[in-house]
Amino acid sequence: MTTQTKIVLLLSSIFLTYTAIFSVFIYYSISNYAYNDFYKRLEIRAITTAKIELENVQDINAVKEIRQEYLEKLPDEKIELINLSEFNLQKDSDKLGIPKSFLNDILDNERAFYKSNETYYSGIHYKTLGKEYIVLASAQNYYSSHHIVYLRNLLILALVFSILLIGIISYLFSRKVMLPVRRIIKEMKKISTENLNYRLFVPTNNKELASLTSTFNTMLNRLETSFETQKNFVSNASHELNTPLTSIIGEADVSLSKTRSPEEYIKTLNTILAEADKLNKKTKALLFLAQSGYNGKTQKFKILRIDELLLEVKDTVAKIYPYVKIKIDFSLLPENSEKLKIVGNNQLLHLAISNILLNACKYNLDKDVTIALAVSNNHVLISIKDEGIGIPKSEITYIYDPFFRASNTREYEGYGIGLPLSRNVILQHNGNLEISSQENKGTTVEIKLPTRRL
Amino acid sequence: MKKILIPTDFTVDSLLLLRKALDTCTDSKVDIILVYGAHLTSAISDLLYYSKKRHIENLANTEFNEGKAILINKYKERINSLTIDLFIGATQSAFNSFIEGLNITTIYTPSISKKLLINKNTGFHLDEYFSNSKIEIVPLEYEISSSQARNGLLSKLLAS
Repeated sequence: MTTQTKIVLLLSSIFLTYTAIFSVFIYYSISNYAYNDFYKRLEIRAITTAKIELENVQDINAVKEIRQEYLEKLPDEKIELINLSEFNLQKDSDKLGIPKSFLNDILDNERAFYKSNETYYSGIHYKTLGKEYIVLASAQNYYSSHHIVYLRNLLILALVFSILLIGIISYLFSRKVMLPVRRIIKEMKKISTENLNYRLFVPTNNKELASLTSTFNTMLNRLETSFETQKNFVSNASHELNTPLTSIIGEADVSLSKTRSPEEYIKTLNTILAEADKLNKKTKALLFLAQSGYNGKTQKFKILRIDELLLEVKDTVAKIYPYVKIKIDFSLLPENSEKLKIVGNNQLLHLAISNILLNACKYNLDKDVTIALAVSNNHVLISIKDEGIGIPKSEITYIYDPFFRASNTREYEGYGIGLPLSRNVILQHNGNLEISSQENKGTTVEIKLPTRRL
Repeated sequence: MKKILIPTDFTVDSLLLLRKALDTCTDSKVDIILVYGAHLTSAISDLLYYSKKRHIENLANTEFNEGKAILINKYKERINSLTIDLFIGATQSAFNSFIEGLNITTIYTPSISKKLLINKNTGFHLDEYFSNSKIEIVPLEYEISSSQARNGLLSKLLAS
């Protein structure tokens, strides 16, 4: 059952129960009131009749007048006077067709009411001039019985209409409630592995949905990073491992082409060993970078020292690009080492910074790469500067798009994954990545990360 | 304790002067005042609610403040205090009493005058006032190259 149907049913049943209880209450109180009112009218008639028939002559005219003027004749109205001196319970009850208990009630309580079929009886015990009487008034309750039926029909009709109305209202309401959810679902369907960089729109006027969408977006962030880490590895491995392998194969091929002296074999094997060693180091470094920061234990953000991290990154990159000179400039380092602490995921930051450094080394044309570190009040700033090919000015806005590669990078292998990945990681750390570049002069990347709040 | 005056133009480049001054100066602890010659508004309503603090906040951007913070972190032990002040006078005697009031002992300024990038609408160069005052002046080499290396806050501070 869909949530929308559930909402409709729930709302309808609540409103319906409420309306039904309300109607039943009104029906019963009105009918009760009608009965009591009718008995009182009968009683007034009994009293006035008794007064006219049994009292002194003086006041009778006035009472008669009142009776004729104000008390209309009820349908089937009958009034009986029974003198108690001639009263016989059995005989009188048979004659009038009323039960004995009713007559007894009149004698005991001075007054009593009784109803048989549609005829209503009201009796009083009347004492005057030293004599005692029972006065019985009876009539058909035509008006109230008809009014009550009308009321009942009216209530049932109203109930039927309210079912319809409530049904429509709750349907519209449930649609309105579920609308943003449907919108989110529609947006979610657009996301697949091909466009993991797509994010859901976070609504501002709905707290629950905002937290839902932002949670989903954070999950996408993590997923995207993991995915890109793997792609990044493939991209790096495919061209970084190729060079030493080619040289090993070439070296072996050449030396096997004819018989050589032992010295020559030793020399060749040494070259092969050195290349294999390089290959080994590169593979290890690349595998280290390929570990996503989200596997089990390393997922948590910890306090770490940024200068130590930079040195580790430098080591990793130096293994992959052993011929590039990487300088670390710590001249702006603060005197207080407490300021170098940041909160972050070591693995991810390592990956992000080394990606940038790898890029700097790759497009560097064998010049030096400089890393600098400084700390302001709220930020740790890392600058990575190379003097390589740079990025054409017109293309600098696209460099964060996945798979984008600048037009001057044709000679270099790569897939355009590293920088978006790095930026993603930096953004996840509430940081900021700024790139300024001039074609053929070099590129400067500046990373800003928030310092640990004490 | 030495109290030194360094002109500034509220760019990160000008913070290099501060760095060089600290490298040149041999004292272990110094008070530093960065000064900017500022035009004062002539509108009476603005003058009525004038606040020097707000004036400085308007002139300094976040990059400048960030760079300043980096240098304060770096020279924490040597900088006793670092304040920014505005000189809003128009005569030599006003400048003389300005530095007298602040107890300035030395001025560190670029060796070539009018090297700072001062916006003519908000301020003016102080070089002439410096040279006509009787305070010790230490010239500093200050050259801003426009090369690529100068992009980014950190590289600006590092270029030396």
